[in-house]
Amino acid sequence: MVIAHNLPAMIVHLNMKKNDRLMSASMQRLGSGYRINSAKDDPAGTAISNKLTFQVSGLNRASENATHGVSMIQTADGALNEIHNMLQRMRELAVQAANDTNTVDDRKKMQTEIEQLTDEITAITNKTEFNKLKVLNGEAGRVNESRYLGVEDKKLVSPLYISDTVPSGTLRYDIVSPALSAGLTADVPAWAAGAPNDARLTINGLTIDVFQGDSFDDFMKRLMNVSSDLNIDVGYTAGAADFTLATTMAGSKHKIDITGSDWLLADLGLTEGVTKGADAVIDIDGLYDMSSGTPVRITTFDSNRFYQADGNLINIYAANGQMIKLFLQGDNVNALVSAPPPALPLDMELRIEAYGPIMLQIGPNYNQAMSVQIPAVNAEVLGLVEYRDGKMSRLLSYLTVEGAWDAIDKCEDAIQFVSFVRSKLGAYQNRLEQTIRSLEVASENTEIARSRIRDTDMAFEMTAYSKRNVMFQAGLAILGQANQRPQQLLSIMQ
Amino acid sequence: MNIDDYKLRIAQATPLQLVIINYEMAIGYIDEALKNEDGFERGISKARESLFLLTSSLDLKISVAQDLYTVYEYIGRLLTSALFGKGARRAKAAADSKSMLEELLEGWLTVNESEAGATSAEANAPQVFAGLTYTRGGELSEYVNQNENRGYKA
Repeated sequence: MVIAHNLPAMIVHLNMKKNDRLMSASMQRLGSGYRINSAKDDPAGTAISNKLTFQVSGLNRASENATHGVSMIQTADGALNEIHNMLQRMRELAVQAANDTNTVDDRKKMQTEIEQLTDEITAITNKTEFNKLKVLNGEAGRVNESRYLGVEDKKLVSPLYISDTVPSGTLRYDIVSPALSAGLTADVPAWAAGAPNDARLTINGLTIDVFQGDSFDDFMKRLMNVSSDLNIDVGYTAGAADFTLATTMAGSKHKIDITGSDWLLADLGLTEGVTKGADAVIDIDGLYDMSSGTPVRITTFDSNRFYQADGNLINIYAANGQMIKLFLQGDNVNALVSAPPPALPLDMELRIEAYGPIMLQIGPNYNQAMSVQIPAVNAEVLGLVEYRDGKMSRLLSYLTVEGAWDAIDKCEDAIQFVSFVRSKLGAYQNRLEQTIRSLEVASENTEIARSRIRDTDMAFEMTAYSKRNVMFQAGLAILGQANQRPQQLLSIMQ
Repeated sequence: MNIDDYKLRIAQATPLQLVIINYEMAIGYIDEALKNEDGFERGISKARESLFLLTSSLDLKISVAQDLYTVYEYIGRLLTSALFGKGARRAKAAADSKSMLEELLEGWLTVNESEAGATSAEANAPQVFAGLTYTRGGELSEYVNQNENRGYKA
């Protein structure tokens, strides 16, 4: 059997395609602004002369965009690796804190350490940048915009994460209720001659002593001392007939658990028992495609859809791994509805774009652009802090056993999220490296793609091996490496 | 790192010598980072830029280059972990990447010795002669030949 072919024509075709690709890469480089952004990083003259020289010398520049992408992903992954380590340490401390053998001082030390680690995570998120683009603060994530369909200038909802599988469109939903703190009102007892007897009041496991003859102010001072450790706000103005206790944080995980001496509880008008906060409640209408002018419901977002709320943090899930993570700015919502109108529920919209801002042109055709989306990974997204009216409040408390249990949960969720983002980055890097290696010419060789080096020993081994290769295949090595452009070397030293 | 020291070398360098200079820059910046705590981040960032040039100037059709890519990719990760790491760990990451680059550089230097007579990568580079010239005092000095048109048409 004879299979007709025209080998010379195929070679010509291949070369043409190669040139196309080189051209297109050059156009893309000019269009994208990569490397030509600022005269400081890469003088304009350099960029232009690069364009000319590589067209003339036919160097392979198609992979440079992809190499750039790898470099960016390494930056993000390096930072995430560090965040990962810190979260592991926080989890370790939480497990330690969940043990009742710790004294209050031990717990305070642990609390200080996790607060430092949390701040460190925030610092890393803020300083991780590549080409001036902050890669971990969400700037590299999917473009989205949250709107309240009424008049309000404060932000009511912060979208924290939108998975790649969620189609672009507009999500419509209502805020039925923001998360609520657990709260109690207690009476101010009339101890004219001081407390009639010794007594104890225990709140969430921490005990406040009352001694015979104490004034109410003595009691209040001790309560206030303990309350900050418990993350409980005490509302009391001197001379008032009652005072309030409320958890600093809102949500069903936060509670006030009261036990104590009978006569003291009766004087304070309290009963033994647990008062819990409540999680935020929303009502999801659906996801709509607005591109045609009239809203068209996207039904894939309706299948198996549900949401979970943890305080003001809301995770909406739907089939195919679709996930939207929202954070309700509870204080802003409360401020808005405190003097109606408007009253709850509030009509909300979340506009979700298809892509993030980073597009890497990794091939000659328009559909060979690769969108790299890196969601925000910061202390807020990881559920370690929340921002209330611009002020940060911490969500992890190692000061009580319950707090530590909650912290174990939160750290595990955070670690899982970081692992997920890292695996996504790994997938991006694989795809980019595939691109770097598998330009059509290379695919003629049956070169097996080398896998990434995992440890230092292996790296040193590979280094020694490459060094020998360089020495003994000098000619090839020079061909393989020596596509250097002098101007670029100079530009680094600026 | 003094840019003037390098400018002339770069102008005169053969393609291979450019590679060597690129390595020296990367190693030099890591050195700077290791010596000076305040300049650590800048040094490592500059070393990463140098490494990026090495990576993007690979021609991956050639198998030696593919091996080099694997090593550069690893060094890239080491440098980022140095950038974000803490204490001894970050110094070790920087030192490890430095020794890998030094080992590879040895290989290139060996090749350079055997590759005499190659021409400059920069088109129309001026010729620089170092040595005793007939100047008053007879000191060792450099002479840059600026008179020839070096291939320029006008």
